[in-house]
Amino acid sequence: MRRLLLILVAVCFSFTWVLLPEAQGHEESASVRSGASGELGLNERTGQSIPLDAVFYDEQGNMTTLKQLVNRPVVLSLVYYSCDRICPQLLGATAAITGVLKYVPGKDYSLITISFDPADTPKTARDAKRNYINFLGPSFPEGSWKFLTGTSDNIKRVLDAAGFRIRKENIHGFSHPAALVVLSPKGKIVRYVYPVSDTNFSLPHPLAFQPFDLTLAISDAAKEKTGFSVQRALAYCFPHMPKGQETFFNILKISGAVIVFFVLAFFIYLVSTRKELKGDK
Amino acid sequence: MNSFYADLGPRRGFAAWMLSTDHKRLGIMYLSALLLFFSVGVSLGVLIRLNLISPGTFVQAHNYNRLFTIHGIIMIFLFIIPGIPVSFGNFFLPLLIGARDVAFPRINRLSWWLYLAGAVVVLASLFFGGGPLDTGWTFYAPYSVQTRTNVSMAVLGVFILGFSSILTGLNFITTIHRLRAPGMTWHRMPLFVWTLYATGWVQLLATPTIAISLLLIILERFFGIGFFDPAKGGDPILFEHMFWIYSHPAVYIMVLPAMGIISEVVPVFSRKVIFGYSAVAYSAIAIAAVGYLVWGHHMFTSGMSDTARVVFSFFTFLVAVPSGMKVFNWLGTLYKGSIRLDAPMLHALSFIFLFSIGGLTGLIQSAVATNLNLHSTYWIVAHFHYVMFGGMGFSFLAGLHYWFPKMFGRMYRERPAKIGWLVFFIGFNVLYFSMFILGYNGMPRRYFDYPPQYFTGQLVATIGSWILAAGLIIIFRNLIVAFYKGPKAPDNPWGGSTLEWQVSSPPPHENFGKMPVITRGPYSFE
Repeated sequence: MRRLLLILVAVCFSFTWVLLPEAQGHEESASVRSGASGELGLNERTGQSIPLDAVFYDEQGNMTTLKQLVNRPVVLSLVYYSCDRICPQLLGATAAITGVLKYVPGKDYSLITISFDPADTPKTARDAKRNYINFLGPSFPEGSWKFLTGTSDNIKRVLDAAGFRIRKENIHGFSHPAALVVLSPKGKIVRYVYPVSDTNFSLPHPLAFQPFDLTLAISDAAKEKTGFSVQRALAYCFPHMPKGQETFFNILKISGAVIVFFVLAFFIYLVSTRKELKGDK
Repeated sequence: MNSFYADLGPRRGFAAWMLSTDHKRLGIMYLSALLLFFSVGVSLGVLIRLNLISPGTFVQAHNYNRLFTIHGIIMIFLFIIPGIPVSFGNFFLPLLIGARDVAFPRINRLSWWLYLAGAVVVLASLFFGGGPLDTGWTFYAPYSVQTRTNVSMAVLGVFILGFSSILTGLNFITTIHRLRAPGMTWHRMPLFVWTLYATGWVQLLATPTIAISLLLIILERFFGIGFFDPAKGGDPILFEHMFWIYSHPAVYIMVLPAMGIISEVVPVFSRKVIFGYSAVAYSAIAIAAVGYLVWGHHMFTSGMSDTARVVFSFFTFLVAVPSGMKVFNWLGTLYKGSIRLDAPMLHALSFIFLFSIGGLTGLIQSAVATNLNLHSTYWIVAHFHYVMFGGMGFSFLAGLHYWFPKMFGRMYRERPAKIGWLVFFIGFNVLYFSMFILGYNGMPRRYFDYPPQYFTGQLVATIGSWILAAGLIIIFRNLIVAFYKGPKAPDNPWGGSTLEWQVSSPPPHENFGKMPVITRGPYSFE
């Protein structure tokens, strides 16, 4: 018995020791299986660069490369301007968080929003931008947040580099993931920041970013240090069609009912058939 | 009479143990496995804390995710959930109700093998496939479906462990219904048995849900069906619901038997009949029942209607009522009792204190408005460590010190046990209380790194983890020395009045030479 215990102790502790070098050994920047969720999704490409030579138009219609805009930490959002679902919430949350951060936009970091809809023009960009600039008030340096549009080739290069996989929909514009990409001054992706549901006790829930996440991301970006984003359930922008799930829920209901039935039957059996045990004579 | 340690059958040594159907041998084997996994879990926990005083120095970011995941999986699925029922439950349930074994001894052995198989599969997942998983112990979709780490195998291991749990629950329920000694009416059963009974039903009813959800994860990973993938029309929130429909009742699988142990220890060391026997007994059933209806409180921020949030919040407040009843009944038992502060009692009293902190902070979280702010912060981590570790952990140690003489037939030294308790208790509070403060100040859980203003809190917590580990080392060193060299234990060292103290230490084969006939309640100290 004692030997048995000793053996078990030895075996189990060996797990701790084996685990350590094992855990140290696997260092991968992309921890997510590529293509795991098909054509739509987000594969983090932390540590890689976005194409700085890609050409876009700002909201005044001036042609610019990303290299000209990325010279300090950048908070990049990828949306489309005719979106009436999650994109305005995402941009609203981005605008809201700039007021909370201790970093100054235009000095410590800048904001770039790129539309992935080739049909967007500098005019739609201007219209979209006006909302957020009005919200932020006159103290916000307008030039520190660019709303860009571009051709499908350039858009695709940026989306691929950032790991965004989007899909054109019939019902409304695009299905796409919602997240911010934080870039270093050299254009390297240092972290992805995901929105959370706001703590506001009301419906519908607007999205929000945690100041903690963005502070850490910007300070890391300034040091060219890549961070490790906390994986949350991704927020997606997509038309929801719960009809397809009815069968699944029916299966759940039936299996639940079967389990409860058997458990009840077992209880009734136990209670109804008990015989009193007799003591030894 | 021969103790159960003597091999009576044709087999000797290791084989005789592994093939044994004796509930006491199974209990001892479970206990040793649990303690080993516990020590692995603690080592990983200390490593997590070590990283947090200097992120990146000892552990890489991605490995940090793996560390806290494996810490969680080993602690939750291999230690806390099986925990008290399989070890002390197996060993003492038949003794406490005057039976010779459980109702289905061979199914009991099968449970043990399944437990071992599940544990082996979970541990093997660390070495094969994509390596140790990094999803967190909750396996939240869609990340668990997408990560390259070996989720499928780990989840299969947990699936197997679930069957072990279901069979143990089934066995205990049947045993309690069928094998009580003559005169052992429901209201003469020791309270530990009541909690095992309530736990058995939870195991039976809740575990299939997690089995199904984990199966769905495996199907989704291999065949890409898309139950939980929004890109395919699935719903990640569905996984969260299914996961917590099991995992919240699982909290009561962990903590109900822990409360049972406290209900045994407190009367013996106060030399008093337990205050409000029926209230304590029925509150266990009430906790198990209401515990099914509160899972949504893990998901207040996950996208849920306000109505659902208010209902789940209400039920969560409701489940605090029977828990509070138990605490007041233990305090009522202590009142005017003749209290002896031996090691089991010190652990039991710590349980009451720490569990109260855990429970009351739980109420703070169950209010939706505060929950929305505290969700996913260190506050939550502190809360569940107070409930799980402060609750189940201290109760486990109370039980271990209380029943050690009976299980191993040896006495441990009281002084080191008390010193170990004190160090452990101090370390525990330094470690986890600072997490409340960190969380309240906004430190999110599961983060590898943090801004400088959190450093002091993290440092204090890490120092606490060292003190805690030192306490555990003192406690277990004392018990291991006692196991080998302790003086022989008397049959009834604490003056307990339940049936296990009426047999020799360690108990003989088949427990009772002559079946006892019960004529009185479990706690009478004359």
